[in-house]
Amino acid sequence: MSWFKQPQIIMMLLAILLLAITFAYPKMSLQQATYRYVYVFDISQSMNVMDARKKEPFISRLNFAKQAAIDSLPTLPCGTELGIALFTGHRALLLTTPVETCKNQHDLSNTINMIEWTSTWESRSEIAKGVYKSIRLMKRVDENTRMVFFTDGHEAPPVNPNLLPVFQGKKGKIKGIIVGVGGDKQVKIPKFDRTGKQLGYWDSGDVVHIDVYTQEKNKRDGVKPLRGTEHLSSLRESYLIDLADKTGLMYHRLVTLGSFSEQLKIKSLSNPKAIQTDIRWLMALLSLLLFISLYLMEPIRKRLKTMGEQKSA
Amino acid sequence: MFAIEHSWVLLLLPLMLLPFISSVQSDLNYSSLALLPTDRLSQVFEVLLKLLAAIFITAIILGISGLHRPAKAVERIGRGAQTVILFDSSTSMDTPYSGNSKGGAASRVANWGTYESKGQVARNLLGKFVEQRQQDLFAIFAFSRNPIPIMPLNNNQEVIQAAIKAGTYERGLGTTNLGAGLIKALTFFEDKPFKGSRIIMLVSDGAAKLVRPVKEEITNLLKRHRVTLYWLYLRDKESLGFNAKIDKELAKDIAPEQAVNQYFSELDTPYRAFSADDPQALKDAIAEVNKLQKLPIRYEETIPKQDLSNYCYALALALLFLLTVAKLSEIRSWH
Repeated sequence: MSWFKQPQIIMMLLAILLLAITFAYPKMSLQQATYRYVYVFDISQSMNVMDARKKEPFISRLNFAKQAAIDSLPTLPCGTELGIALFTGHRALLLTTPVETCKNQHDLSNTINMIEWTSTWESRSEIAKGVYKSIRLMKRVDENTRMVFFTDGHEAPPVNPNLLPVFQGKKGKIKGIIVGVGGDKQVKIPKFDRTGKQLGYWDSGDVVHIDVYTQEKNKRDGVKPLRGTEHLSSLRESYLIDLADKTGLMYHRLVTLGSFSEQLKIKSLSNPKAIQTDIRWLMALLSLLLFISLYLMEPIRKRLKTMGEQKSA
Repeated sequence: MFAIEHSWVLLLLPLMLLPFISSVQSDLNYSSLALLPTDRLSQVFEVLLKLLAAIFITAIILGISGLHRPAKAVERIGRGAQTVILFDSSTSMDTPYSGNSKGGAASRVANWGTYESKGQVARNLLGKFVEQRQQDLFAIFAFSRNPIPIMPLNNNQEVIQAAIKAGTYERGLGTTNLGAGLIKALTFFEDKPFKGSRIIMLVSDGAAKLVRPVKEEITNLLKRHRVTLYWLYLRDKESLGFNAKIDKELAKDIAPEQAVNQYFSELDTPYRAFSADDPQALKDAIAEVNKLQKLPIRYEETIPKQDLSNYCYALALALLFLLTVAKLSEIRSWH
């Protein structure tokens, strides 16, 4: 019997061939979901409240957002790009334009780590304007950029519900997620000095409790300054959901790092990109299957053979 | 040391037992087994073949699972400098740049975005500078009302360029706190071992005033951390520049950059200003940094992830070749 009549030998040669192909680095062009995000971090003072997690270890809203951002990096598919920005006052400041996350994971983590609330350039925090202007910024960077906006929704000074800033962009044109960070209970906001030493908490008398418009009107009418609860802070979730609704963004509450990473990988936020995918594994797997089937085939062949012999006997 | 990309593939590993359970050797028909002598050599040979087959299966599964050496940071020694780029992000950097000949700059109140601002000119220039300094480490800081740390020292050109470019999309922020910005950038060197020439590259129009205690702190920090100060100076359309001869009192109000430059020039530590007006400025700055490079610099480099699946496949291929040869030489018949 010559060797080529033996199916076993042919299979083994085929397995050799498949394995040899891996050294030619076979690639396949696949449409893969990748993302282009800019993470915007609210660095206003209410983000220092330590209520981002319900359980110990307690962590500030800003630090929890930073941790979620860093943890999300290795979970994003390669080819995804990420930029970083800060928000305070009424606008965002772009720190880096989006760069690829796999190659630059280390330096992106370092950049996120460097974020400090003390960088603030205004003591106010106008979330609605901030979200709208950040959307405009995304548009300037590239229309395929999705925004991820970490905030507790705490407007300071408060906005007049009748005089809300108007979103002038096109709803849903820039996609993204507003990420709510913080707890449900109203808690005191820590107060720090320039060196980062805590001086206690913001007091009711330190902050404005009503929007600027009403405040001025009250002053003219001789109404005493109001005392409210603006020195306390919680996650203003319904406000953020409303903002998300107006702008066509999604809303996600930051509870666990894992669910945040999942939210980032939502299909509707992806930009399909043709990625040259390594398919060496496929060649190797086929080669392995061929080899294994030799072992699985042999007992069957033997049985058939003995059955045949029994019949003829 | 080693890591696996897709650990679930390792669930296939029990397949390596297959050669010991089943056999691929063909049976031979022979009249009586008892007639055959026991052959130690062929028994050893058989076990060896099973072993090779088991290793083959293991190697191929490790290959598919993406065996690799993870990325790690190693310390390298090169010749370069440690430069902290310190961007002035105030609104004064939004005004048209003096060396600009494009139309927008001519109108008195130009619409931002229709002309090239001082900030944009500076960032383009810096981008080119960084590009030519591949060995150098760069950290990036900015300041407006407060200092804004952006990234620590690294030599990843892609992210450094991304940070330089980021400031060109929108207007500046507000007030200028040059002193706090400089102090923050200088204290960045605190507790860091001296591993190479240290430079602070200030990118500003100098529209700032420094009060005495702040000046003193800057002077001390420059000395303590042995930092060379460079100022990439951007002149405003209306600004007079460093060298215009005007009355000192008047200069305080209309040309604050003169006072700042004066203060820097009187420092004991090395200082040099580069005017972006000058097409030579970029070359000058690069030449100047070259001169500082006498000290070898230690820096961390990330060795990227090293794929080892190739070695797995190579081993598997060699083993499969041996197994095939063994199979071919198998005795199929006594006749």
